[in-house]
Amino acid sequence: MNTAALVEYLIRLADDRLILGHRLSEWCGHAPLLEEDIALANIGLDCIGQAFNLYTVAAELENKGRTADDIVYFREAIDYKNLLLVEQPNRDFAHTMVRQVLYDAYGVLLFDALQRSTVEPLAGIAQKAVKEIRYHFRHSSHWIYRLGDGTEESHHRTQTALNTLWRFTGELFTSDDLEQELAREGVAAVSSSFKDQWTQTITDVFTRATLVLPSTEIYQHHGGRQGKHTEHLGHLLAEMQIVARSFPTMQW
Amino acid sequence: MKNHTIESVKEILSTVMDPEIPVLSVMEMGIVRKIEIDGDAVTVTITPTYSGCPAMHMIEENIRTTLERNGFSVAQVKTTFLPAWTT
Repeated sequence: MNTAALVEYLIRLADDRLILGHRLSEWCGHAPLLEEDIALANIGLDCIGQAFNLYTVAAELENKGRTADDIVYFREAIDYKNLLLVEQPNRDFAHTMVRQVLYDAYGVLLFDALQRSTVEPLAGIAQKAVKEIRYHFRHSSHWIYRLGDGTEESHHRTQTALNTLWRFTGELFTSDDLEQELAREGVAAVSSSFKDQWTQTITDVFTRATLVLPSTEIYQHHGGRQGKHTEHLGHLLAEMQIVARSFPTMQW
Repeated sequence: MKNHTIESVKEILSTVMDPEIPVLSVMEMGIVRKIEIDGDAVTVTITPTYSGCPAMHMIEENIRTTLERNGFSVAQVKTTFLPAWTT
C-alpha cells in the first residue's frame, strides 16, 4: 500500500472535520440561545477531536517528525485538502444548520463505511466518529424542520442557505484516482457510492421542512481536494493559526 | 520492589477518578482496556469516551503518576479506539 496516498487521504478526512469544527467554534458565545451555544460547541469539539485523532495517525504513518499541531498550524491554504462546503462561512444560523445537515448526511455514510477499513486505527476512529455524527445529523435535521417549517423569515433564510450551498455538494461525491486506488485495497470508501442515499435523505429532510431542493443542473464547484479553495479558507486559517505562528516554539 | 498483579493494578486504578465526574473511577467509566506488567514497568491502555474528550490528557497523567507513586519505576499509558467506548 502506498503510505503517502494513505496519509493524504487521512489528511483530507481530518481537514474536513477540523474546518467544520472550527466554523462551529465561531458560534461559541454568539449562538441564538444558550442550549444551542452549548450544542454547537460540543458538536464542534467532536469534529475537532475526530480531526486530531486522524491527524495523529497520519503523522505517525508519515514519519517525518510532524505532530498533529504542526500539520494544523503550520500549513498554508493550498495544502489544506478539505471539501469546499465546510469552509463556507457561518453567515446566519440557518446557513450553519444547512451546511451541517448537508455534511452530516454524508458523514454518517462515509464513517459507517470506514469502520470496515483495513487500516485498523482508521476503523477504530470511524467506529467512534459514526456514533457521534449520527447524533449531529439528528440535531441538524431537526433544526431544518423547525427553520423550514417555521416563520416566514426562518423559511426564507433556510431556502437561501440551501440555494447558496448546493453548488458545493457535488464535491462530496467525487472520487478521484487516489481515493479509488485506496478503496481497491479496502482502505478508503468510494464517496461516489453514497450519492443516491444522500440525495434521498436530503430530499426527505428538506421536503418535510417545506423547502425546495435546487436544480441538479446547477454548476458544482470542485478543488478542495487539490488545495484550490474559495476565498474563505485563508481568513479562517489566519484566525486559527495566528497564536501558534506568533509563538512557534511555545509549549502548552 | 513491590510485586504487582493485574488485580492490584486494577485496585490502584480504582483510585484514579474521572476529572469531570469525580465520583467515578477510570475503572468504573470503562476507560481502562488493558493492563500489561513487565517487572516494575507497567503499560495501561485506555480508550477515550468521545472523540474530542479534553480530559484524556489529564486522565493519562493521573494514571501515570498514581502508578509511579505505587511502586512502578516506569508507567506508560497508550490509547486505543477499538472497541469504541459506549455508555
